[in-house]
Amino acid sequence: MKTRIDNIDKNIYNIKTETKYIKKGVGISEDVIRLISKEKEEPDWVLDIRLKALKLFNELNNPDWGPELTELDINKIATYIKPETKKQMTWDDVPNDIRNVFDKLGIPEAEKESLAGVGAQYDSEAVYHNLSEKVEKLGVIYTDFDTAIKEYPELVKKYFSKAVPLNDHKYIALHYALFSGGSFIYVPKGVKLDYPLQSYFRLNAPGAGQFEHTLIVVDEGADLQFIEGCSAPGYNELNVHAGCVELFVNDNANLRFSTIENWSKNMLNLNTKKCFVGKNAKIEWIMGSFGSKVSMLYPLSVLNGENAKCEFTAISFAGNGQNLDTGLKVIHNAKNTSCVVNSKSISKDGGICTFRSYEWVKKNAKNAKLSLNCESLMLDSISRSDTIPVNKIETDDVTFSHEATIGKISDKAIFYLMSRGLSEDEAKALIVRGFAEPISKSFPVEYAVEMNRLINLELEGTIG
Amino acid sequence: MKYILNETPVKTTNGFMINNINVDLDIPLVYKLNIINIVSDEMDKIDIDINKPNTNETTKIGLEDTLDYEINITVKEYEELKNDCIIEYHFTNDANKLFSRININAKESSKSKFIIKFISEDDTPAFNYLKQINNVEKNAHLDISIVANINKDSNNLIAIENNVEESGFINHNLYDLKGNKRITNYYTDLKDISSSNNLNNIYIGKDDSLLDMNYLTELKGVKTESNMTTYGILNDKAIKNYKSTIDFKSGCKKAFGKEYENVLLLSDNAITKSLPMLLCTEEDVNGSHSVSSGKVDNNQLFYIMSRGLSKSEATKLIVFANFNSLLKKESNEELRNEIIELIEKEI
Repeated sequence: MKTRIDNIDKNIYNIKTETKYIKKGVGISEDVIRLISKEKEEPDWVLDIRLKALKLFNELNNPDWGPELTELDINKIATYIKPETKKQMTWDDVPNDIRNVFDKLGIPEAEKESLAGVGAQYDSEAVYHNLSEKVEKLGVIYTDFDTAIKEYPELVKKYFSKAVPLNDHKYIALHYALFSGGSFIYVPKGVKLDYPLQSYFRLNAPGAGQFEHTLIVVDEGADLQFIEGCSAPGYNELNVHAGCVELFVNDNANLRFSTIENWSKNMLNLNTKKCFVGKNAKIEWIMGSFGSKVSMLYPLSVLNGENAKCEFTAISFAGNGQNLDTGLKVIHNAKNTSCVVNSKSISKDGGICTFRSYEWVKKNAKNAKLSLNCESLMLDSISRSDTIPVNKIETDDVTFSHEATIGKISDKAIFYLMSRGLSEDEAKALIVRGFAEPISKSFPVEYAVEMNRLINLELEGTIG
Repeated sequence: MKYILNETPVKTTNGFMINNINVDLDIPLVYKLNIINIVSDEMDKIDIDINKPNTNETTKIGLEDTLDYEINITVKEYEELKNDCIIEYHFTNDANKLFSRININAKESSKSKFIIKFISEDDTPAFNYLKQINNVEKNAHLDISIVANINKDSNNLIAIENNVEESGFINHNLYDLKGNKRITNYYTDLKDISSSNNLNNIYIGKDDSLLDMNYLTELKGVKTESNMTTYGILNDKAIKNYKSTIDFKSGCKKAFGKEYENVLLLSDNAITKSLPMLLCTEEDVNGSHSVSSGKVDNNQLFYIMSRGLSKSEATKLIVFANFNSLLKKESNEELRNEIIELIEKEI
């Protein structure tokens, strides 16, 4: 028997504050784009990109596959919202209402304890960015994207829009037209960071959009761990997130990119992520998707260098009213490249989880190795779970395997745990946590705790 | 003429162009109807009638054409065919195009096996388009093997639709060994309790052949079971699209579904694409799919060659080892030997 509780208060994530804004753009038009560009005092080349993207957005159609997106009317969305503050270097200088939100999310505390640097974005603009002195001395650049355009124009020009082109799809064109905020990270050759950098993106305004751009370059032989957190309070109006992440992991470098996404359930999350991986380099994606009304997110790794590696570890948890359409794309474009995928999904209370993958082994990718494993758990019969993997292999010298399973919680396992004194609900909850455990242990300890807490929140009202 | 055919039940990203197939088909005119042989020594247990309806008809492949032949077969209630019923279509230079339909109605508690063969008598490229509809009643057991022994320039389109009632079982063995453009559509509706289906498919792609397979089983009844297994080899510049879907519908409690594909790549110029889908709206099910691809294992090859076999003999042995798990499921020994011979010739 299941206990259901409606309208669970998502406590810390659901903090709603009245924030003062000094500028607001609604919808998408040349006027809005020029307003954003003027506010940011951008160079002409950036404005040109925005205007090209606007044209593409108007020309491109919605995808003819995946979740329905027709309810999104971008002209009703507040596409640029500037809070009444500048970016600050200390939390004390951040306005009280905004600082309180980040305090409750635990960001300043995490910075003190376990991070080498933190960036915080509130609606369309960065409100805080700081990098530890020790790391700064190593030549690491970590700043918000607007500052990067002004202070490191050559680096930004070299990499910006080079991984994800403007015409990739309709919502990346939307992103390039309206992008605001985000992070820029450059880790110089040979620099290995012991502690992660974290950017936290908070969309606080109702009926608004967030379009941050994250660009990370990990130069030859360098190592970086980056953590991205996202959340928003729940409103009745539709919010949209069309961010973009471009990653360049150069030869012999390593990047671990972790995301815990807990957007509110009125959010359309149409995010795009892409990574170029060089010779002997490695990208690790660790993703936890819990929030949003609709998510379409398929990070692409292009393994361009010999021996390049990709590891992808992800979990999705879809509850009532959620349609989480996630997965990954991999292109093997050099010899001896490899990719290991471990994906799990849980659907409950009418939630829809879809795993899509797109694996392409090109003709020159001799001795490529791919191993994909997907597991889906259904907690009731009103939910949906689909697995839709596609692969294309153009060489005979490949080792490829894909396995997927779908099922319910084992009756035998429940019986066993109940014989040890647990109630049926406790037994089920324990099994779900055990199902997610291989993923949660891939996160840094603090974030594994955070992920487990999110799983507990999701389970609340269904089990236990 | 260009056709867009064989659409998948759910669309996905268009990058690999696997949601359907855009194919150029040259459909010849019918000059003379093909020779059909139907061989059964138990005619008292089945009813057969053949029509020449000459009407326009479409299939789940999505191509509309004029139906040349329609064969209706009914296996009577509680009857068991001791010997297999064989249906052969022959293609010749003046009868090289055929669109036929075979309807088999397996009545309650009947048990039967049918072998359908398409045979090229000469080098004329044939165009074969088969619609095969089966209705399997309560407790009936229907086994069908389909062999395409047509010449390498022929086009072969096969669309199968099965409806399976309570505790009914249908098995298809498909031997897709020859031909140029080969499009297969397979659909099974497991609508009642404990109904089940097996699909065993062996294919060989070589030269510039194009294979497009689109399989779908919908599990609707309680304790339904589906197994769809495909083994293939690709050589030369062959291209293969494998699309397979197990769809657990709401209410199919305790259902089991499994799809498996293994492809052995014998050439660096062949291309394999796969889309094995699992769709699920029922909690209490057990579903799995797996796909594997790769070339002949060098260690295996070395071991066999060290026992005195040539490279081509060793490769053949490995190919047969690969196909063996499906070949042994062919209950007709004569047909199994024929298939082995055909495979040997093809590789």
